[in-house]
Amino acid sequence: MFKEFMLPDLGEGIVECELVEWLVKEGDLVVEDQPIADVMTDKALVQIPAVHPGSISKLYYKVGELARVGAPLFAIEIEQAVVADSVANAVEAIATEVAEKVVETPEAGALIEVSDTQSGKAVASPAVRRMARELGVNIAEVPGSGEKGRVYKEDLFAFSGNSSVSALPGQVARVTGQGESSHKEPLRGVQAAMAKQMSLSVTTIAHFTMSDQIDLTELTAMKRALAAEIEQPKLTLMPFMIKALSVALAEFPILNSHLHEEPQEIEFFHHHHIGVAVDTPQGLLVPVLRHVEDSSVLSLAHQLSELLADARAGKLSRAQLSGSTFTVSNVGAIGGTTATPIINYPESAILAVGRIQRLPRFDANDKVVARQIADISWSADHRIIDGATMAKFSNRFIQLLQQPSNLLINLR
Amino acid sequence: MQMNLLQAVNNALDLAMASQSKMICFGEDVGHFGGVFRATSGLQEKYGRERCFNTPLCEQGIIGFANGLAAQGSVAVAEIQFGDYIFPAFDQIVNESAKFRYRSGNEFNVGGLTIRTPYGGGIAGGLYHSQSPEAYFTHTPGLKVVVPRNPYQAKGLLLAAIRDPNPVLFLEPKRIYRASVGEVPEGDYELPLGKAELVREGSDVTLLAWGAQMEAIEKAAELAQAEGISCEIIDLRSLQPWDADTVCDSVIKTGRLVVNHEAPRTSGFGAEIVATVQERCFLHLESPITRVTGLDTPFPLVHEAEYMPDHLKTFEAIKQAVRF
Amino acid sequence: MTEAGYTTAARTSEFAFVAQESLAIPMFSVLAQDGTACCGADLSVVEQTVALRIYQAMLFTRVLDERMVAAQRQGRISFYLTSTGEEAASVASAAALSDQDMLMAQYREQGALALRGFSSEQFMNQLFSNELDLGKGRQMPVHYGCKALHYMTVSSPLATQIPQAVGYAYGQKLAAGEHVTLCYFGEGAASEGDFHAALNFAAVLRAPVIFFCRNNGYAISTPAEEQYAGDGIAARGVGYGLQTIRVDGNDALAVYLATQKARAYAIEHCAPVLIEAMSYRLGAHSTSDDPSGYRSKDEEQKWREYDPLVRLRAWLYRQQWWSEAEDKALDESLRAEMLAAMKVAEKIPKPKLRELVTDVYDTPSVELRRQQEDLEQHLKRYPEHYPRTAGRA
Repeated sequence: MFKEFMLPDLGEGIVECELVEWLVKEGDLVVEDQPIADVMTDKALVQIPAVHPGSISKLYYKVGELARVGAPLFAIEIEQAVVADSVANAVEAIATEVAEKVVETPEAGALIEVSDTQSGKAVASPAVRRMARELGVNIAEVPGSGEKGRVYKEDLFAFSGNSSVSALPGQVARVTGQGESSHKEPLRGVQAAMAKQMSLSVTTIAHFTMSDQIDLTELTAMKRALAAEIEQPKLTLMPFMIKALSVALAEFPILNSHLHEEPQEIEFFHHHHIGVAVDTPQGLLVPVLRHVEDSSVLSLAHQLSELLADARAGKLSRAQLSGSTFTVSNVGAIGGTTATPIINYPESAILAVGRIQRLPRFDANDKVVARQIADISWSADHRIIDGATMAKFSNRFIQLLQQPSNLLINLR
Repeated sequence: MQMNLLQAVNNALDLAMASQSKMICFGEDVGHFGGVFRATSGLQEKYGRERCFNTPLCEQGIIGFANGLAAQGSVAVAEIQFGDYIFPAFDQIVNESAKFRYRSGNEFNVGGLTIRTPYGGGIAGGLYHSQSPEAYFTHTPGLKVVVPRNPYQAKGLLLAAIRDPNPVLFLEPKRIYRASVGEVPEGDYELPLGKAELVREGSDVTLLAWGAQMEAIEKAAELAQAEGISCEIIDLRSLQPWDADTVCDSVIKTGRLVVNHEAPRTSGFGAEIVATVQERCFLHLESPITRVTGLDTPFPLVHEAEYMPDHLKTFEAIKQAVRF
Repeated sequence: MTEAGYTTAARTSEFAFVAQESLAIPMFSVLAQDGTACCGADLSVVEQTVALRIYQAMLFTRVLDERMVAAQRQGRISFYLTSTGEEAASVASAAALSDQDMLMAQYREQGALALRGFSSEQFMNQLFSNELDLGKGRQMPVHYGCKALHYMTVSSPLATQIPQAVGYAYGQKLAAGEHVTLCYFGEGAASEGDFHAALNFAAVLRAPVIFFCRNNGYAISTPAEEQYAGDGIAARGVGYGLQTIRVDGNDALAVYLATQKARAYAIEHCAPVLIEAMSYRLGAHSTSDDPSGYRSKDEEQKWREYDPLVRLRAWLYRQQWWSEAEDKALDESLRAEMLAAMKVAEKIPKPKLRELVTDVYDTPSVELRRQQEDLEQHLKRYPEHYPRTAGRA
């Protein structure tokens, strides 16, 4: 059997030795422990003895050359397999058995997806990162509203991309033996936020709802005329409604207030930050149009279209999602007429606008005419707003929209 | 010219002795024999027995003597044969060398003191020829602690350490004394103390180590590269004072950090790095900072390979950080 | 100086330093190199069984050392350290004690352990760090220890065992068990602070400890004359107030007789004794060392003429307690025994991975257990990179 002798590390961290002298030549028969070579490390002159008896078949270096530690120094043809004693045999058997027991474990996660780092890294706290993970959102893509683009929780809520809020693998708990449910999903992200916010609102605020109808025929005609003039943005009725709301709120400040429980006091606001409830792929989000009292209808139209675009792209910042003083839900854009909207706590009222329908109505001459009718539903906080106040406010709002000229003279 | 790390140390000592007649080097077996690793080879022949000599076998004596020499104005370069044997001198180092200047209101100082000692495992040295004692000394204000990773660094950092006006503990990675070979300028040059070096740029994760463990993180980075992970590599070089700016800048860029050291995990110097980086980079962290370290056991002999924080353990830590 | 010292000191107006030469400590010696008694010594006190036990353990040690240096050169073990030339000092001193006396060694006293009956298998298990090693494969080769044989596990840091021996002996004194502790160290270690602390403690606290200094002329490369000035280590014993004797360390019988007397004194007076055994390290410091860098072949050759094995053997032949044929047979059988023991020991598996974390504390901490689990996971992933455990927990 041909066996190479590997030069051992003869000191502490020796990497090579100089071959000083061969004490045998190729073809020589040697016995166990017979000196084969003298080598010189930088620390010591060392004599290397044979491990096995046999004939020297190869010397790998010439005298004076540097021999590498761990590389073959010489090779030997072992004459006879050295008969191992029974203990050694038993030991070999144990060793083999041990070796066979080694479990092959597949390399976990062969391919790793590294996030595209061109967009840089996110600036965010670990808590926000955890939330992003739960939402299935790549936080690096979320535009942050804070300093240096810091991402806050609200930025996450506002964000949506192609990422869905479906459960992450392994987070769906399968339930067996219960015919009722197919599976359970933990509530998380926007859903969880909504649940929390609405419970708080309903358990805190004494809601009452009042509905009415608005005739939007004139406004619709006016909008159509304006839309022919204005290419961008695509004009809708929403900016008009929001502007009307602001004019009415200026006259009824109690509807633009927050009631605080501890200490009990009402906080009034000069500014009208109107939240607009939007359906996004992540669920319900409420971006805010700021300082509506100072904005023209056209400016509101621009702002609104940007907000909606951002909301649908999941790019809403924390700033865009906070600070509303009154909220409007245009649920009619999807469907439905009357509603009992839940107030966006801690606000004091909310408006839900239903579907605009072409309906028969009597005109001044009792003639049936086709009119554009929308249902509106107000919910208000009965702790500070009574039914009469709500009705007066509603009437004013309706008046501003049914005769848009009323709106015009109130614009600042 | 090509040198290994030992030759670079020897060369630095030679140049320092040539440039400063007040420089003296001594320790167990360092004289005629040139030290058990040969770091002081030829210096006694060249500069005489008065400037390079054997001391009696007594570490507290070596450092006490060195403190006195340095206080007198000589440049003292003391060798402790193995880092594991530095502890009899612990009192002289932490209570004397480190506090000499402070306690005397700078009436006296031992700025001319440099302590050289080999540290680290990987040579089948077992409990008492393998330890990495750096953290004991980084915990002592008044000392500088420096660890080179290769011959070029060793020469430049040792020359700077010898000339630095503060006591410096210079830890030499014995595992790569001979194995680390590289191009070293023949002339006199110094590398800055207290400055980390960005060895390689990357974008996904920062790897930080010092001394012989640089090899482990570089190998791990290659494995990671094959998986499409880009690693930024930093050699800390100086542990006290340490260059938090360079480290934090990198972590802000990559968002991830893996620190590697041979010493046990608990209270290892990595803990200090991790604490500082989380304070300064909290909002930029994409994943927890991880430490790849020795175990909280004495340094073993037979299970050395298992104990060492090698490239594979580092590679696993990198993958975990990036996948987090 | 206490008041008592002040009042009892003799007074003189003659100025004179106490000359350091004034204490010229002689060397106790009973056997010449040719095996005859020297200096008019009476060797009839030495029993045949004791003498043979000493010689056989010395030969065992010599054969073990030769075998293991070769094994290191063959790459079988990483490190070894011989006691060649100093076998008499360690073997004969241990032979003069009760086998229940505590031995605290430095690292070059394998002879004392061999005398106590540590077998070739036990030596090999330690040297190959296999799972039968009492030290569980944790320390470098030659760091032996064996509770059953009252042999404290060796540690590398020098001189740490010397003050420990004082404490151990003090405990033995309190236990009134009529036992002593003998502590071995070299003249290099005697430079450490621990040595000085130990001698002072032992003398002041009256501990039945025998300090046994093997002065073999070298601490790695540093010769004794660069290690100390003055009259060796023995003079320090006198200075610290110990009974002190200097002995020919290559004279097995002188070492035996001196240690016997030292033990009797230590037990009777509850007090320490210092023995300085003068010898020479014929081999390298260790397999990592080459003495040709710091001493001449001529010097080594000169010292081979004081070989302690040759000296004792010559005396045994003269006594007709031992013959050349018996000697050759023992030598061959020991060589065969070592070779066989080595081949078995090197095949016995290494300690299991769990031994990495046991004994750090009485039970591993929660954190260490966690680290162990992580490590086991890692090794399962890459068994081929960790051949010693290869996935075996």
